[in-house]
Formats: sequence, structure tokens, C-alpha cells
Amino acid sequence: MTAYALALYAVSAISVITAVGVGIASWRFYRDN
Amino acid sequence: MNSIDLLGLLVYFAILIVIGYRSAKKVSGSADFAVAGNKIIWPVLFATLAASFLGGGASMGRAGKSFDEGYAFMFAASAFPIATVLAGLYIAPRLKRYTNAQTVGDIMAHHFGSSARLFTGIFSLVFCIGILGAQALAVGTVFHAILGIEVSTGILIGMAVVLLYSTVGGMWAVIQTDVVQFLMLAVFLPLTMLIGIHDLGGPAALVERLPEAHFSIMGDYSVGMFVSLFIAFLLGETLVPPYTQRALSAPDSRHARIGYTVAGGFGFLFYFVSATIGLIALVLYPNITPDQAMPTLIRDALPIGITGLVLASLLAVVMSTADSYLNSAAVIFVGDIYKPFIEPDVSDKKRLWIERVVNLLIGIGAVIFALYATSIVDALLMSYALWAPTILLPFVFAVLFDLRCSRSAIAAMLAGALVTIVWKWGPFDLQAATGLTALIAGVIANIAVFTLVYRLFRAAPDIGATSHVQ
Repeated sequence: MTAYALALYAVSAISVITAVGVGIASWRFYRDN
Repeated sequence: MNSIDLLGLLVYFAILIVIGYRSAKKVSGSADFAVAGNKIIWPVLFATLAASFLGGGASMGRAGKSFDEGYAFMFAASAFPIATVLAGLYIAPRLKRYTNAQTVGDIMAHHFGSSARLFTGIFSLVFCIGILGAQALAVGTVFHAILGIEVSTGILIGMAVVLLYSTVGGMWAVIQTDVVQFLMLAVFLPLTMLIGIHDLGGPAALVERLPEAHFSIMGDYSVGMFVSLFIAFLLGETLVPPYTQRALSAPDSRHARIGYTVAGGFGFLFYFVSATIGLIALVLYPNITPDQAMPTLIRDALPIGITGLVLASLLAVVMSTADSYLNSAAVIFVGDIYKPFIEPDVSDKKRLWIERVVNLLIGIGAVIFALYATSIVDALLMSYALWAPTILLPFVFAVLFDLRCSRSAIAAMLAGALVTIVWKWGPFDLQAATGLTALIAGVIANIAVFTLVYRLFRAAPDIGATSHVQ
């Protein structure tokens, strides 16, 4: 796999994982506020 | 559009309206409407800030530019995420020293007095309404590109939803809808990119089918042009009112610092995704216009069911920017103009009521401009060129070095504005004659005059400065 391909897949994975993290943190925040 | 896709879109709108309705219960005073009661923890702050600055330009605009020029524009534009990371490390944490501050004008008033507040307030208001009008146009364009309905109908539908939730729910609704919108853009735009890559045979096929220059850092730009673009992105939109308002919404400096810095980091990822979508569109649809790169890929390459969700994500990108500027415009009008100069003793209850009415009126005004007078939107957008040469640097100097000299700030703002206007819209082509863009010339004038006048008058007493610092 080339560095470019790796960058494409890594960026997608990080973006989705970030979204999951933000989703969980936001859910807890709104539940408590 | 398939009925399943349409259902996805309707569900998205319904979620936004429900959030607005539920948020209304949380808004009991002006602080709730403007800065969500200073309760926004860093993951939420990060999501709302990212959703705000990742608008039509960072998505469809960036895809169109890479369709045309390759990754070079993305590299130049990466100066904005860099500026956001720097602001997160050095400015955002310091903003929490200003107790009860809700606007850039509050902080300018503390350091430079009431004249600087008025200048900042009026300018910020024009700036926010201009961007809001442009985003309203972008909402209509997305509807038109994907659903084929009239741009004007798209503007009315999209902005009606934004107006509804932002007027009743204020910053609480804006932040919560921004989080929903962030989740959508963070999931579905990378998904669009991966599906597009798969359709054309993988990353290697993309590299093989495009010229090498499309993957280089500077592309066809000269060094001077690249540096000018880089500086424009470094300063042009940094710490504009809605972004500063996000830092002021944090409970303390730690949350402000982490939220701001992580949002800057995410900007790099998003720019890469948007630019890659433009390159994919260039291979799959070489005969379309650049601005259609992202909408065309979404409409034609995605499977049924996903299209509606990705369209909703694209609308989310634009609407989350529009709601932020709308809320800021209302808060600025009341905080920097109405309260200090018209009714200083206004009660909190009345202030909240005025903010809601102004939010509604500004939103309706922006829609009318977008529908019937795009030249007014263009005129208001001229203020975009003036943010960095007028307010940004006095604001940054004040926050970093605790400078207090109203004369230096006012003189620097006027000098920066004058030089930029003459450079950009004057009768002579000064850019060609000097090699300096209007923004760089304006920023140099701004810094030079600020420094000179500060050295001359720094011992002079402040004029009408107000205290917000704990």
C-alpha cells in the first residue's frame, strides 16, 4: 500500500472515530445539562 | 431523488427543529442565548467550532479548487487550520480571563474603550450579515444541485429551518445542531470519498489518471502567489466573531484551549477529504464545472439511501456556518451597539427578547438579500477583506500583551481599512506595482500605525474602557 493510500484510509478512519467520540461526549453532556 | 433519500433529508430537518424546541427551555437569559451559559465542554466546543468554520468554501469550494488546480490550493488554505491551532494554544485560553464577555467588542472595549467597541461592533455586524447572506445562497445552491429545485425555494426551505431553531434556542440550539451537523460531515464526506475512490479502482488509479502537478504542494502557483494565498488564509478568517464566541462559551481556559486546538487539527483532515473528492470528480466527470464536483459525485456515485444522508451532510456543512453567523450578528447588535449606546440599563429579560427579535430580523434580511439583491451580499462580503487589516491584530496584541491604548487601536483600524480599500478598490493597480496584495498591505499599515501611535500615547489614560477581567 502506498503512503497516499494509507493517508486516505487513515484520514477517513480518524474522522469517523472522532465523530464517535464526539457523539458519546455530547450525549453525556446533554444528558447532564 | 429516491423517496428513501428524501426521507433521510426530512428526518434531518425534523431533528434540527426538535433540538431548537428543546433548547428553548434552556434559554432563560442573555448569557444562555449568547454563550450557552459558559458550559460548553471541549469535545462539544471542538465539534461546534469545526462545523462553523467548515462551510461551503471548505467543502464544495475546496473540492472545486482541487478539481481545477490539484492539491496546491488545499496546501495554501491549510494556513487557516494552522492559525486555529495557534489561536487555540495562545489566544483562546486567555479569553476566559474576560468575565461575562460575549463578543469581540467586549474585549476590545476592555483594552481600547467604547469607540473601539463601536467600530468593532458595527464592522462585525456587517461582516456576519455578509457571510450569512453568502451561506443562504449556498444552501439554495446545494438544494438546486442535488434536488433540482429552484435556488430560491432551497434558500427559503433551508433558512426557514435555521431561523426557527436559532431564534428560539439561541446558542444552545446552534451548538447542539452544530454537533449533529459535525457528526454527519465527519462520517459521510469521508464515506463519499472512499466510495468514489473504490469506483475508480483505488488510490493508485487516481494517481495514475491525473497529472503529477495535481499532487504537488505548490502546483502551478509561483512562490509569491502561494505565499500570498497562505497569508490570506492565515489571517483572513482567524478569530472572527462566531469563532471567538465559541471560546467564550467554554467553562474555563483548559476547555477553550483543547477545543480550539483540536478543531484546527480536524480542519487539516477535512480539507484533505474535500480536496480528494474534487480529484475523484475530475477523473469520473471531467466535463462538469469545478463547483459541481462535490454535488455531482454525491448525486451520481452514491448508492440509494446514502445519497439523502450525504446531501443532508452537505446542507449541514452550510447550515451550521449560517446559524453561527446569524447568532453572532444578533448577539453583537445587542451587546456592542444596543446595550452600551442605546439602553445601558436594559434588563436581562428584555435583552434576551431583543436578541431573539434581532436574530429573526437579520435572518429574514439575509434571505431577502440572497433572493433579490445578491449585489448587497457581494457588497457586505467586502468586509471579509477588511477583518485582518482592521480588528484582528489589535485584538490579538491586546489579548497577548494586555495593551491598553484606545488611540492606537482606532488609528490602526482606520489606517488598515483605508489602505486595504485603496489597494483593492482604488483607481490604481497597486498590487501589480508593488507585488503586495491588499490584505498584506492593509495588515502592514495596521501594525505600523498601531505600534507608532502606541509608542506615542501609551501613557495616556484609557477612554471609556470597561472592566471584564477577573
